[in-house]
Amino acid sequence: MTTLLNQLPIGLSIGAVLLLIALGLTFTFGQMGVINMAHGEFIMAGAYTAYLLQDWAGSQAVLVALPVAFAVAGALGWVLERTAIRHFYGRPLDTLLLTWGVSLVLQQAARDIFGAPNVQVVAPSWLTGRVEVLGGALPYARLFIMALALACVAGVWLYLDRSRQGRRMRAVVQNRELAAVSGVATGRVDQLTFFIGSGLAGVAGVALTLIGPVGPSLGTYYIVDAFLVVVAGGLGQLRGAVIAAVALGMLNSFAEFWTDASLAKVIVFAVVIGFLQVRPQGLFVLRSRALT
Amino acid sequence: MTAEPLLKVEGLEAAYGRARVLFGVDVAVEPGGLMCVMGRNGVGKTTLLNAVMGVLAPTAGTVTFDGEDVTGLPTHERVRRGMGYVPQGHETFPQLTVAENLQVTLEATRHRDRTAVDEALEVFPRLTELLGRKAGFLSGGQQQQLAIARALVTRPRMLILDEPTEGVQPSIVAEIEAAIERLHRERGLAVLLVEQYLELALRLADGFVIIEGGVVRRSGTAADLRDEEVKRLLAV
Repeated sequence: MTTLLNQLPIGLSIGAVLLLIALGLTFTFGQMGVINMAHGEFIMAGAYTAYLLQDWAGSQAVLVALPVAFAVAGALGWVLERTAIRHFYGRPLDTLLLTWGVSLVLQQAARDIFGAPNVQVVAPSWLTGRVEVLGGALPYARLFIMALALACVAGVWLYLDRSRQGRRMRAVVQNRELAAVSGVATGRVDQLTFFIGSGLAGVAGVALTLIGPVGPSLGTYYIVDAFLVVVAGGLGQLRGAVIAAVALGMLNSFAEFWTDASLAKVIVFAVVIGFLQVRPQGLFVLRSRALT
Repeated sequence: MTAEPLLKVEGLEAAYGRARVLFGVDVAVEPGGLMCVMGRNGVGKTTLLNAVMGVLAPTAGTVTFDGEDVTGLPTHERVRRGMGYVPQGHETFPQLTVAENLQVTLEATRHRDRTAVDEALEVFPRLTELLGRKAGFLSGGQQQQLAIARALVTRPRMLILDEPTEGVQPSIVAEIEAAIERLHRERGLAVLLVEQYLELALRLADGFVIIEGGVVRRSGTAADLRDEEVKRLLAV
């Protein structure tokens, strides 16, 4: 029984990682409808940012890296939106191919700059302990990731729901043409939305350095899961993403407990596919007269 | 009329991909005037307004507003210069509340003057009770009132309305027509109105153009609207 309970905090921490990597996609994919295959490489860029900052910030690199990685990944996303993606709005297939190509280029660039072998980011000493939870040991690093995920969700919620810029973004997403004829500079809103979504990928990348090594293909391990969370939660729905991330994390953790890692992956996929058969729109759907 | 028109559209051509819709349209609206654009379904009336607002880039021709060539300007810059557009089909931001719909518009203006919202609500007092409701849940008529109020928040010098009473319950049609009339007569707002119905045009317009096949087939003053040939051009 205690070993079964053990899976609970593990599931929560997997959910927190899923949530962190999916949060950025709720902006670029959920709000703007852009399938950005290079999102995983923005995660990778965030992780390497932490790696590079070690020379300067030493063991506290992770903390320093959070805002810096946000800016670095955000800037990469902004450049991608300005130079390429904006010419392909409303053409999902072209966007998918384009960003997939960009993703390959970025991976190869990382290989050229940092070398193919994985590198390690040293966690600060105050994150190296572990705490007893429900008879199991939960590393501080995992707790930190959960706290970071919660903080990011709170920040995103405040931004979307309470800020002037967030309101403007929702207006553009709901009715682009009307936003333009209301005097909103929609192009500028797109730039900012893409910057924030990509920046959040960078933050997720920093978090990932705490639980594993950093390599050029770091992002590819997570990108599919991230899309899964956003689709299962309902496009652009923050609470949907939160619930879907935790649910998928739990499912993953328990399935892994009863079977093994690769079979657990199959089970998670099967469950999500089954779920989407019943609810193609995901957990939460926008409802209004205008949309029915 | 010696004064420069507020809006001058010359030789405007527009197309959706390869399908050409407008073949050189000329329209002018005097300051404080009300120009009615008429014609049957599918002749290019909405396309004309979209091209005037820059929602659709024209392939040829110019749009001049208050003496300035705005043809190359993005839509939001035209709005900031005083062109208030209410597109067809009572458009709103469905997931935002009525208050947020007006707020987001106010925040995009240069003046940022909160009293602009109050003034817009004075025109449509019905909306005041609905401020907390999501716009998507309003009736078609209420949505259209919100759509016009939203345009008024930008403090336009000219209102561009695309079939403002289409798909609106009869009880609200009269309110909307009265509001347009008041804005035009009392506040001196210039109006470019797309309307299919002769009665409204007869009552309000001081000039009209009839579009057919992407060109202006006839134009004239309000008196000409009673002409038999005009009625024939508009008959379905």
